[in-house]
Amino acid sequence: MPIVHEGLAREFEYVTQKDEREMILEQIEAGDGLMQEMAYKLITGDHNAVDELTQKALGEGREANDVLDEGLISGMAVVGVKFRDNIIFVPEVLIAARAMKAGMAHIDPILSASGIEPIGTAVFGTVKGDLHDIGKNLCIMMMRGAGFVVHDLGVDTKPDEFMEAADENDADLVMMSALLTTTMPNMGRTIAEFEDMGLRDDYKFMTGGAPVTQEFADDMGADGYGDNAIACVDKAKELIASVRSTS
Amino acid sequence: MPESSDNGPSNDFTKPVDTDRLKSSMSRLMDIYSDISDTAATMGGGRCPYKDAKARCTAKFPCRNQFFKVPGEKAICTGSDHIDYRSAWET
Repeated sequence: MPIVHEGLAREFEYVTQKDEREMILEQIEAGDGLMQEMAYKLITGDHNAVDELTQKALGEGREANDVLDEGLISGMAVVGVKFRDNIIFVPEVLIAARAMKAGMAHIDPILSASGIEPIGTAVFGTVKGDLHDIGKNLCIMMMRGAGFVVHDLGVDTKPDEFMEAADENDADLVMMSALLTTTMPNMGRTIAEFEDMGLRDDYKFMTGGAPVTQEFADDMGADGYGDNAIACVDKAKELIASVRSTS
Repeated sequence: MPESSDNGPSNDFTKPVDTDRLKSSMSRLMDIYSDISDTAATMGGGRCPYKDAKARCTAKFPCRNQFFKVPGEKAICTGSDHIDYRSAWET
């Protein structure tokens, strides 16, 4: 079905590279009007609409494969192109990622039922005293895309809040982010509080953020460090694999 | 997987699911996210977040890009917006 949704047609005009146009158009045209509406709402970051449309599509009997490819991923592909070409910026990407999450909430149980289990569970927060969360949110988006269950603890997360969330969600990973050089020592203090409670070995600890380095992460006693969102996912996978292999 | 939305997740698992295609779709999604992450890392590595609109340093810690032209006033940031600023931070 050609693009009939006016808003989506306008958004698609931002995709100018021939190979990308062909690939994304093929996905969009495989769907119907409902899928096009879903893709458009994802691009514009309307998470409530994506939530409702995904539920509706699955309720009407569409396959999860089609909903994922034709509605959600085709929309996210346009978001990626717009971001790369400086048409939108990080906040808009994160708003679209929130809409993606709303749609994936309906797809994920189907993945699980099909035998595609989550890789692992993480609790992820910006440490105490720090209110910066853009980097953390990008990492969470990547982690979820990679198949992790991630519980977002938000900003200014105190050590006892990390501890409580890790316990409640049976987490494998405790992930901490900081932008400020004044707050990054709180990563070490958080790990120390886990140690004091005798819980250090129950979890793997990861750190990241602009001022954080591998050396600093080692000094704080963390198990892993990610220089960027991709490295963060790779390291998280590595740590999960090490846990699974020893248990 | 991520927490459900207000409406709760749909629970119809009776439709057949092509697991190979699902894996391929998730792989494609990761490719999109990886490109986004690369772009963000490139953009974020350019301009120090402590550099204000008038190129003054607002950091409360030492940095090798700080130049104190007038004692007692905020330092001027001498860092380039094209070079990763993080290695200059003395943390």
